[in-house]
Amino acid sequence: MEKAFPKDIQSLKSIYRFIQRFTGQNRLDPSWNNILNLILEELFVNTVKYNPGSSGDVRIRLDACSDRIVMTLEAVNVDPFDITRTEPFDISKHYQSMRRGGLGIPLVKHLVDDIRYQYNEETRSSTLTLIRHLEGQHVRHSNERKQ
Amino acid sequence: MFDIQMNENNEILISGRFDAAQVKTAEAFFGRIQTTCRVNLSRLEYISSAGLGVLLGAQKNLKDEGHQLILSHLNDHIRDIFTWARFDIIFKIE
Repeated sequence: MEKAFPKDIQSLKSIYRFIQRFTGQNRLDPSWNNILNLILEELFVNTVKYNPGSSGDVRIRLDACSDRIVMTLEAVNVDPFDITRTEPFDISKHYQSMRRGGLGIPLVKHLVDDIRYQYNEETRSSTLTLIRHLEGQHVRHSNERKQ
Repeated sequence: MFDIQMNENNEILISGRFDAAQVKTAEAFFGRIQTTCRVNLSRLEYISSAGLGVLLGAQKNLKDEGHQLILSHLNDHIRDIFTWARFDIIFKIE
């Protein structure tokens, strides 16, 4: 499933509905709604926040394979930001400064099993691909028989 | 649907989905809290890092004045996030 979302915080409601349709169609446990929403919200909000006034949508694609979910976010007219290269996160040190921000990317990294980042300097577009394994639950497609 | 209010037991009740779109509403509410309060999360379905940040900011402000937020009635999803975020370092969780 794929859909484009305007770079606006108000798109979060639409993103959540998109995720619910995806988990429903793939008969995933409803608990996946919150997991996927956490991942996508953090990345989407960062794209909006750090590219103010930028035109173009963020395209989100969700794919369910037999043992994993693949999430892809493509954004145009954005500055490069490779989240795979952020500093290691120490939550105790983070709280020593009582900084209220900075938890989003560590949370995404905690929730996914693999992240790939690509940036095209010419088009100023980024592609983030994230994989989360299904850990014992398999995607059941409509043409599979229940056992 | 997100909502934050003080209930009849003088508890802060946060309900619904606390995502980045709700930050301003939540900050405005917590900006008016000046004493120790319990925060009942029994109806909170979801919280993102934006919501965590609001709670952290409110806690910092209150602790600077010798007060705090006490969190209670976490569901499994919220408890998982709070456990990861080590909120037990910052908050009393009942």
